[in-house]
Formats: sequence, C-alpha cells, structure tokens
Amino acid sequence: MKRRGKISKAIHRIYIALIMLFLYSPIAVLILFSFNAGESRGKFAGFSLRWYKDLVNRDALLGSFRNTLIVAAIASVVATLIGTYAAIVIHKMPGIMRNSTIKVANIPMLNAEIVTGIAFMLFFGAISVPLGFSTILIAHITFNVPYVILSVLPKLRQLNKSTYEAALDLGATPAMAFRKIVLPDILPGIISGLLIAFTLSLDDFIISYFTAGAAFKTLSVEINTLTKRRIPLSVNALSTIIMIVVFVILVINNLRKRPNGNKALIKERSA
Amino acid sequence: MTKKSRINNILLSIPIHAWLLVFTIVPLVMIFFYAFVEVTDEGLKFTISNIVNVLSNERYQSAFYDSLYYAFISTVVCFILGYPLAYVMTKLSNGARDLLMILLMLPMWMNILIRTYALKALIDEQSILSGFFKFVGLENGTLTNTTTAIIIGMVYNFLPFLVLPIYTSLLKIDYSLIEAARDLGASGVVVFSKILLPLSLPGILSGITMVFVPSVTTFVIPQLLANKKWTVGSLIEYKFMHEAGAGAGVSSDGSALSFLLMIIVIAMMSIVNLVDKENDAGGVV
Repeated sequence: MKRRGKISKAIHRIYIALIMLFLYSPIAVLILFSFNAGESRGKFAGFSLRWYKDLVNRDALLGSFRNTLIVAAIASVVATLIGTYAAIVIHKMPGIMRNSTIKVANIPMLNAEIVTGIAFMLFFGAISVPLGFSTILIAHITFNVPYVILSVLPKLRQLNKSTYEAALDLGATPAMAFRKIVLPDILPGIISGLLIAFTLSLDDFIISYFTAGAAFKTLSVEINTLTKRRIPLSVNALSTIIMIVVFVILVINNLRKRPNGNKALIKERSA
Repeated sequence: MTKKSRINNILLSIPIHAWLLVFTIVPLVMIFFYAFVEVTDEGLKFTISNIVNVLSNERYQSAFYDSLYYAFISTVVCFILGYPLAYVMTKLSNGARDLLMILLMLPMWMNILIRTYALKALIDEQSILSGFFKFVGLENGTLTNTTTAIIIGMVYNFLPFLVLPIYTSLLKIDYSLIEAARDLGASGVVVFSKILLPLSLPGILSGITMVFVPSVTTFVIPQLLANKKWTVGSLIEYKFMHEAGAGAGVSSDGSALSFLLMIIVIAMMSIVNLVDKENDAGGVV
C-alpha cells in the first residue's frame, strides 16, 4: 500500500512537470531569445544584452507601455469607486431589482470581449466621439466595474447590520458610521477588486484594440502593429522585464497573505 | 425599512442604473441597430436581410463551423489535461500548492498577444523545434497554418482558466467521503463518477465556459498562428478594421456576425446554467 502511494505520488509529480513544461517552454524560449546576439527568433547566436539596450531607443514601444500603465491606473481607481458605490446600492435594493441589476452589471464580464469592443466602437462612432484616450478609458472602466462589484458584494453580505445601527443610535452620522464601521469591513473586498481591475486593464488587448484608435496606443495594440512586420527582439526584452516584475509581486503578495491569515485566525480564536 | 429610506435607496440607485444604461445596454443596442436596421432614403427600416445574408454565405458558414469546432476540441483537450492537474494539485502540500497557483496564474498576467507570439516562435519555420517537426513528417518543419496550431494556441492560452475553478471546487470536497467509498469497496472509476465528478460540477461548468467563450470568439490566435484560416472572430475583425474605410467602424455584415456570436455565447451560458440548476449547486456563471 505504501509503495503504491509512492508510485502514484511520482506519477503526480511527473504530470505536473509535463503541464508546466507545456506552459513555460514558449516563455522560456521568449526569455532566452531576449538575450540573443543575433536578430533571429529561431537561431541563438550567442549571449548579449543588445535588445535591452535597444529598448531605450524604442520610443513607440516605451510610450505605449506608459500609456498602458496610465490607462490601467486611472481605469482601476475609477472602476473601484463606481463599483464599490454600485455594490453598496445594489446590496440595499429589494430582491428582484437586485438580481436584475446584477445581471446587467455582469454583462461586460460574461460577454465575448470582441462583442464588447465592437459595441463600444459603434457607440462612440454613433455619438461622434473620436477614438483615443478617453474612449479606451471609458471602455476599461466599464469592463472593470463588474469585477469590483463581484468582490465587494460578498463582504457587504457578511457585514453585521446591528453594529451599523448601534453606531447610528449612539449618535453617529450615517457618513461617520459608514467610515468607522462599514468601510473597514469591506476594505479587503475593495482592495482585491482594485487589484483585479488593474491587472485586467494591464492585460487587455481586444477591447483596447477596438476603442483605442490610431493616435493612442497601448502596449498590446503596439505589439499587434509590430506583428504585421518583423517583431524586434526588444519586445522579448520588455516582456521579460514585465514578467519578472509580475512574478515578484505575486510572490510577495503570497508571502504577505500567510502571516495575515494567521493573525486573523489568532484574532478569531481569542475573540 | 421606513418609506423615506426606501425612496432614498431608489434615488441613490439612479446613477448606477444610468451608468449601466449608457455604457452597457446602449452599446449593445448599437450592434442590434446595425445588424437589423437599414438606412434608406425614406428613413430607417427594419430588416433581417443582413442576418440572412450572413447565414446563407458559404464563407461565413464555414467560419462558424470552424470556430465552433476549434472551440469544442480545445475545451475537450483542456478538460482532459486540466481536470487531472486540478485533482493532483489538491494532493500537494500548502507551499507547493501556492507555488503552482502562482505558476498557473503568471502566464495569465501577460497579455494574449505576447503569449501567442511566444508560442509562435516555437512552432514557426526555422524555430528550435523545426527539426523535430520535420522528423515527425511535417514537410516545412512548421505547425503554423494548421488546425493543430490553432488548437494548441487555444489550449495554451486558456488552460489555466479551466484548472483554477475546478481546483477550487475539488478543494471543498470532504476527503472522508472518498475514503468511505474506498473502504466500502468502490473502484477508482466509481469514486470519480459518483463523488468527484458530481461534486466538482460547478467548477467544471464555469471552467468549461471560461475556455469555450474566449476560444469561439478569439481572433488573435487564428490570425497569429494560422492566418489562412477564417474564424468568426477574425471575420468580424476584418470586416470592421480592414475592409473599406478601415476603422470607420460601420459594417452591417460585421454587426450581423457579432450579433450571431453573441447568440452563441448566450446559448452556451444558458445550457451551463440549466445543467447547474438541475444539479442544484451554485456556480460562478
């Protein structure tokens, strides 16, 4: 029996390794070729940092990356404000209205991205707003809002209603009671909504592609333009840098979660 | 609740309903408008001719057929690869699980273009794997422009979307159920079909939707990996962005195609909801 367990454990490990090989070999090759001394994506001509140095002169690429960061930052903050407000209002709605409002609010999350993108393009065309920074921003805010609602609503459901009412009875204004009682409890939901919104914006290509127009390009839209010709390996270099930053953030986020989780547990037990 | 606070709540919800109306409903209505309304000299006229045109055009028909076929095969492959992975993950120690979660999520944080472009570098002519492809009998030493390339592209991009929800629902299963079944003499197949499968169904359903919907609608993957093959997504993209007056943005054929694509997505979700309700378990979708 014990031996059988060992064998199945080994099979599990091998299986995980094979899937990871599948998921990571393209990425490994992408990273490897960011150090290529030559220009080919298929033949490695020796190690060099030339594509990282080359990045400095790629104004279009760096500019589009800056645009991506700006859009993601503004869109995620605005979407978090709108989404949190929406979640609070939705939470107070009577049953039928709440369900139908949530259904409509979820549409941009569930619908195919290409349909959302086309719908926005037609919409902005119909009201004669030229495509650019403002249109891509509105589109990003719209598809981010349902994710914020989705992460804040459960926190509102877990709220203890009577503490809020007690605060009011004790003379707190609604605004004060909200700030002191409700906000601290739903804050984790708001923060995770903000993070989801930011990463979704950062990652988006399809909706940006249809709403950005020619003048304002995000990184993914710029890379798409480059794929029409020969992609310079500086794209590999930039992707490698982004990936390392994301990996570090994910690891830190994970390490941070653990001790907090323990603290919460201790708090719960002592309470 | 007092009458006053009820009126207050309704007033407070107006901005949200206005927001949803303007930025969610109206844009979708635009697609219906361009798909079903014809602008004539006498004004606007309702017409189904755009839809009929699209449905009777052989090129569009085969694009629909191909898109559904690619999405179906990719979803099946994702399930076959992903379900065992999700199961194996639940058996790991906490630290190993966390690391694997990060490794699964990391590619999702890079956008689809970079991921697909990275994959393309592996399967193109004169890539590292060309020799291997030639060895197994592919004449040009490349997978590019084949159906296989599209399927691999979809599985590669969307596999994590399927693994994570299934993993979450498998984690919730009480392990003593499986032990009890084992003790009572159930075989592995019985444990899978009677315990694991039904109890992880909500995760399976949302995982399947999360692979099928982006697969059936994508235009990036077929364009980058097989630019000679048309899918509904790439047809829509072409209609709106490259045909006469690129970027001008009005295409009745493209709108009709988008409308039909939306119908496919809604149909897919209704089926999933139906199965989910029958099993009386709350899924994500």
